[in-house]
Amino acid sequence: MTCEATGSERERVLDRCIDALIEGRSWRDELPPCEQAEELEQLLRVAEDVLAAGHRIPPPSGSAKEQLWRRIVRAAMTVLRPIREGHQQGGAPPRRRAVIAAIGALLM
Amino acid sequence: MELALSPAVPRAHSVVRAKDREVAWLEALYREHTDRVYRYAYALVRDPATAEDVCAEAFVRAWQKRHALRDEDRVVAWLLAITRRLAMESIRSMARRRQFETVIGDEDVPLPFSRGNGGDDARLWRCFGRLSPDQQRVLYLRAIEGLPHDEVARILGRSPGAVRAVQFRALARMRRLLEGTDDL
Repeated sequence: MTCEATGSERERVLDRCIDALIEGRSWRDELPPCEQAEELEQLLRVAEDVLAAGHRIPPPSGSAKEQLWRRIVRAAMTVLRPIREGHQQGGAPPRRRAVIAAIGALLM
Repeated sequence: MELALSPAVPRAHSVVRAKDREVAWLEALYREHTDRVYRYAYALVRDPATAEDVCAEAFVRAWQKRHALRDEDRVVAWLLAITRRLAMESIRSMARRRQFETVIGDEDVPLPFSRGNGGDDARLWRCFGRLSPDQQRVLYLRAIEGLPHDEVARILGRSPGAVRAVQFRALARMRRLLEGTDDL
């Protein structure tokens, strides 16, 4: 394995090392001795930090997810309700009726 | 034949059925991607409560704009783009609020970015926030979610080579930002 040939080879080596990092293996085993090894090591240390910080992001708890879902549905329903009501009454949604009335008034 | 029926009643029913399907679509979207959207929002805004706000708004926005999603295979990239836009709006609005609070002299107000994180993480996420949208998405999916590069390529509609190149540039930029050789 080399990483000296081209930029894309260097990117491949970095990618293999990141795979090792993600899988919990040692990325050093994937890093060939080459001129750019030092640069790649520096980037992999950053990747290690990002991965570790990512693991520290607290996931939303079950109850937080429930609350979020209720918020989302409430917000979605405020959009949905006028449309449903409009169709159930057999006409255009109220908001659209208001727009049509406003346009009509302008044209008069 | 369905077309021969009175248009009013069947149409109203079909609209209700269609809307129920859309709510079911939203629920499926939420079940599958809550953690992803929340974690990406958190990485950008670095505050649990703000990340929840961004997350909720992102799903509502996605639902409102669902017809703009032409390819269901691109749903993750699309959701992450919506999340990022909302996170940026939120950061800008927090910055304006902080500026205002400083002007009126209330400097004891806690900074939203300083809660719940060690200093190192806060700095790291600040640097992450300075990457381009493309670099953020690749680094997030690859290093935070731990997805293989071909999966990231598929999600973002890019070639594996392009993902590797963006990943390289993202880490190089992060390193410069962390070292202070690139402006934060």
